Amino acid sequence: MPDAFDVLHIEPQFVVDRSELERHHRALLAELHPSRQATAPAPAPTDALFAKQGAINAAYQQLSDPLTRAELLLTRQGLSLSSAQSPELVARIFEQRQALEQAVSIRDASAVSNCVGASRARQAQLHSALATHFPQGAAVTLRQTAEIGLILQELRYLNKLIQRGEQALDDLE
Amino acid sequence: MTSSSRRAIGIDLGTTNSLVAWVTDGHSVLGTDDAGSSLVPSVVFYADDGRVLVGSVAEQCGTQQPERAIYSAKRFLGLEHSEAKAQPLLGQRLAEPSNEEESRTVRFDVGDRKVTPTEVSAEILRQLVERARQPSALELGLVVITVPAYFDDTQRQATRDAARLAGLEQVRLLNEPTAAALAYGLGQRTNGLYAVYDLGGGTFDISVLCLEDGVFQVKSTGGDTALGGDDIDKAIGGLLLQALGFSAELLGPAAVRTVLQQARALKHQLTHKTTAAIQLMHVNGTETNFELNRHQLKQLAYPLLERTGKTVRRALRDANVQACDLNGVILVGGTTRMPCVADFVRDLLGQKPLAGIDPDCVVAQGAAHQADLLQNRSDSVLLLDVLPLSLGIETMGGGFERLIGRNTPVPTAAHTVFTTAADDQTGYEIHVLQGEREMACNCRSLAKFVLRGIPPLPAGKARLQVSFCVDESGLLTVQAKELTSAIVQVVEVRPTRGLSRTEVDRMIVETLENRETDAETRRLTEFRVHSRALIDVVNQALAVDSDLLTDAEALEIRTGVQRLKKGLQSAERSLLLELLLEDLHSLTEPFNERRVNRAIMQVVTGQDLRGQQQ
Amino acid sequence: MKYSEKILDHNSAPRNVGTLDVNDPQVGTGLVGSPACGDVMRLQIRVDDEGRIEAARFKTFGCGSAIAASSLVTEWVTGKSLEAAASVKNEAIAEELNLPPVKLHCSVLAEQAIEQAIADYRRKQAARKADQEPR
Repeated sequence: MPDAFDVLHIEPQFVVDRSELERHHRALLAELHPSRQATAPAPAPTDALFAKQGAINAAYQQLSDPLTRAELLLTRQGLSLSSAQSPELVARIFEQRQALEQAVSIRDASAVSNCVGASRARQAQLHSALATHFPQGAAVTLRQTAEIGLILQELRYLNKLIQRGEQALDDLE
Repeated sequence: MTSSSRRAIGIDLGTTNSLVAWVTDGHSVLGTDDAGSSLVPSVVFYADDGRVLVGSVAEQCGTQQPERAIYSAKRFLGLEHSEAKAQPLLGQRLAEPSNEEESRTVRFDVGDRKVTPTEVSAEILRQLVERARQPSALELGLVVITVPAYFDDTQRQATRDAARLAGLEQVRLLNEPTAAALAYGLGQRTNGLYAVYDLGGGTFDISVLCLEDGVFQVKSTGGDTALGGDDIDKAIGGLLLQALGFSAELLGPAAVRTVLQQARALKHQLTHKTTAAIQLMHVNGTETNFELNRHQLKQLAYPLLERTGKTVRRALRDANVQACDLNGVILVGGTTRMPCVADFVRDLLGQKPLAGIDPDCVVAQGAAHQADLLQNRSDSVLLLDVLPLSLGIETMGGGFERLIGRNTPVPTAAHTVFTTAADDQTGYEIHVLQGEREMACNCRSLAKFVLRGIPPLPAGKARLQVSFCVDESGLLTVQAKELTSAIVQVVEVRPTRGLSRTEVDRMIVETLENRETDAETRRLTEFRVHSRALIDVVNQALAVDSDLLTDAEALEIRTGVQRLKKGLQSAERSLLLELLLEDLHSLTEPFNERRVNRAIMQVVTGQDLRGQQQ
Repeated sequence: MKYSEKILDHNSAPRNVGTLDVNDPQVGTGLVGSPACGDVMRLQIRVDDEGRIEAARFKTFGCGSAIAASSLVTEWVTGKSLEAAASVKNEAIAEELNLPPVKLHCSVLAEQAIEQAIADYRRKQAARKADQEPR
């Protein structure tokens, strides 16, 4: 089954050239566009065409986010993530969410902004850590999947926190 | 008839002015009236003899009988009655809804009848199409109608409905900023990042686009569909009223309209002069001079411009670019002619906006190019747009669960699986919304439906897959499937705002009866209405009773449905559509017989033969 | 009250939001997260000398479904014995019930949280008993 890497003709590794990804995305959609299809039907897209365009856009979304990219790489290697949780991680995230809600409730925009900024910085750290777990060309070890799993969990929690923070900033602006 | 002998047209259906354009020999041509004017004021006048007038002549009649004229209908497309009342007073007379169904749309009171914004827009579209037909009496081809990028699904559907009411079937929607970028880009052809700042009469849009090798890709989009030049008119109007010693609440809609027109005149004058003045006639007969200068205008406009600034900053963030990364800024919309607006944008984005195309015409020209490209398959340019608002559903607890995030490239689809809250829960109540907030009550409601017949399971064990599909025009279709049962349940989508499909179809038929249309056009329209209804009925039947058919039979029927769908899109002769309709009817006759038999058996034995005890 | 009304009631006015003293030996704390939806929940119980839950408090971020579920659970367990609380189940209903969908992972969060809270309390009690053993 072709996955996002196959659809977009991108080398399956964690580190991806952003501009290459964009170029491939644009080029593939351009090929499919009704205005470029010799056998294109009437201007309204057919269901099949729609499905193909949707698949290309979906693949682009998947490869644009380091989190979903990492998950995809693991799937390609036949590895699955355990759902084991770390109480320490949950406790830490709970504290951070609490701090954010506190800042929101007293309408402290700069405190909210700091929470979001700190979370983004942490995300960047985790992305770098992820890169070390997916060495070029080499397979991922089973032991690594546990560490990777925790990193991905934390990334998801941070995504939610950032989303909530940005929503709050929009309201407070 | 080959496609090049049909005229593909682009329409800018604006809040204040509308235009139509098409492409001839590679360059765009604007449709004009006898006097050579390309702008059609978006004003519709309903005369007491039943005639409907559009444009400048409607404006003129409106000065005599203001209660029969409708202005800025676009601001009310897709709104509920309660939302319209909250809109700034623009001199409209709103008809109070008499029941719940009526409260889902806005209705204007024009004396002897009530009209919806959709119907008003349809009249404008008819006028524009007439203009496009005249020059060489070519058959009408593909029609591209522009909408604010930030229009939500209901507003887009309402625009589509207006097109349908005007007799237009082959319609594509195009976002206004993208249209403008296309108009500029085709001339300039320089790769880079562009921002389109579109401030019209009633809506504001900002889009960040990347142009590379003939591909226009929207990176992000933002806006406000209730913010525009009209609001500046209202602010000036407030000053006028103050000078006159009146309060707005005491004035009737006609008087408000007059004040707003004066306000707008002052505003326009200040584009070319630094001060403007009018004579005010007071109730006691005295006259005073009312003066307004550019500085005062800037102060009045400032809060509005600040709001656009906030939206622009967010759009840049979403696109992951900074103002200094932009290669060009494009201004669209008559309101950007105001010097204070152009200055504001220059300061906000750090560069002088591109000039060269009339900001009033640029959107229509872009739409014309897009229509030409799509119909005649020119290979030069490609447009890739995005979804302006996140789409999702309401979950237990009133939260808004996003299924597709904003600025996702379209077309796109997403599937998410949910579950039940309670043991033996028998149905899901699915509320579809659009927006960026955490709670559903703060988002725009699109539709609601109930999925029934869930098999009894402990809470959390059932599996509901909700699928969203968004097409190139930004229009959404929703499917809900209960995964643990083998049965696909039928879903009834009720729009929470705007006109339902049946209402639009009914209006189409009524319009036919009231207009002097030729017999062929009437037949074609009637068959279109019947076709849509039959397709719905057959699809519903297939969803529920497909086990009554063999695979081959089901395939045959589905193919028949597809053929009829295609016929709907492209048929220009009623005979073709009639034949396809008859085809599908005869194909489905045996199926219907079996369904009727099953229904009878149900009643007789007290059991739903699809396997559920009653 | 009909079950559906009950759920909606807990949505709009969740009961028992708050905190208990985590250092109180009578308090058990459960802290669970759902990485799939990114939300976290803390549920605490205070148990009396007879092994009955005299108070329950929860705090959760995001996941509106979890809020309603937590609210219901804390109300349900209050006054019950630990054994009874360990078998948290939703009540069965007889009438037609159309409710908004629930995010997959939120539906089990509350149950996991109560399990953890009970386990935490028991662990604390066992540690105290061990401390009190004569040497």
